[in-house]
Amino acid sequence: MSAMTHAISIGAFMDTDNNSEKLSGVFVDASNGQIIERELTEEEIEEIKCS
Amino acid sequence: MATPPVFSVGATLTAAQMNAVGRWRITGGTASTTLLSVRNCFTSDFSNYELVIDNLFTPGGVRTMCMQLQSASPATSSYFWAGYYSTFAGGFGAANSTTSGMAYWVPNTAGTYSPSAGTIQIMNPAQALKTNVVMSCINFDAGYHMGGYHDSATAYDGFRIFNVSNDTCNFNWSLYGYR
Repeated sequence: MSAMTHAISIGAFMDTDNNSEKLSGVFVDASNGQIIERELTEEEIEEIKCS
Repeated sequence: MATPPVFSVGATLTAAQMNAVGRWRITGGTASTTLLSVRNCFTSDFSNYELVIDNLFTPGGVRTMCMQLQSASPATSSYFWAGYYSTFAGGFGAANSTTSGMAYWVPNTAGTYSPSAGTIQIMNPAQALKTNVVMSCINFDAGYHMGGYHDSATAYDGFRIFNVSNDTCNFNWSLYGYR
């Protein structure tokens, strides 16, 4: 396994495609046990970046 | 007390007995999703937390997982995170992430590989202190040990997990609080 595949440099794995695939999220409120699964909003999709 | 107490069936537990429990499962579940967001799990009840993730697959391919702290909004900057890995084949290396999140589990698993798993210790997230985090995990060919902190004296009530390619992650998870 090359060092590149172990690289934790985030950019190496960033998917830059702006595809139309719907993305889902699971939202848990531990105070009351509520679990909601729904599509992510545009704002949330924009937020889930780690780079 | 080295030996946990034994409670008989039907016994009424006192508040003191319950408060003596040093570790408690806060919440958990099975996720197949792009984003797992958990709120109101970090409270003044416990100082530290352990997030256990098991049976992790990323069907889309090898992925980097990322964890961020959050309250009403996520903290997307000021993380410092680094560590090392050792491969089953005898290799080794160091890794570090950028400041937008605690990136770990690199590379992740896909398809027919064995699933990855690990534990993440989160120290004092609910206090207005810099949150320290330590992680140990394995994937299909290596073991990882990582650590870091969020460089902001801020109290958070939750966390979120996703992968940097923003596609599906399948995993089981449990969050424990302990004193």
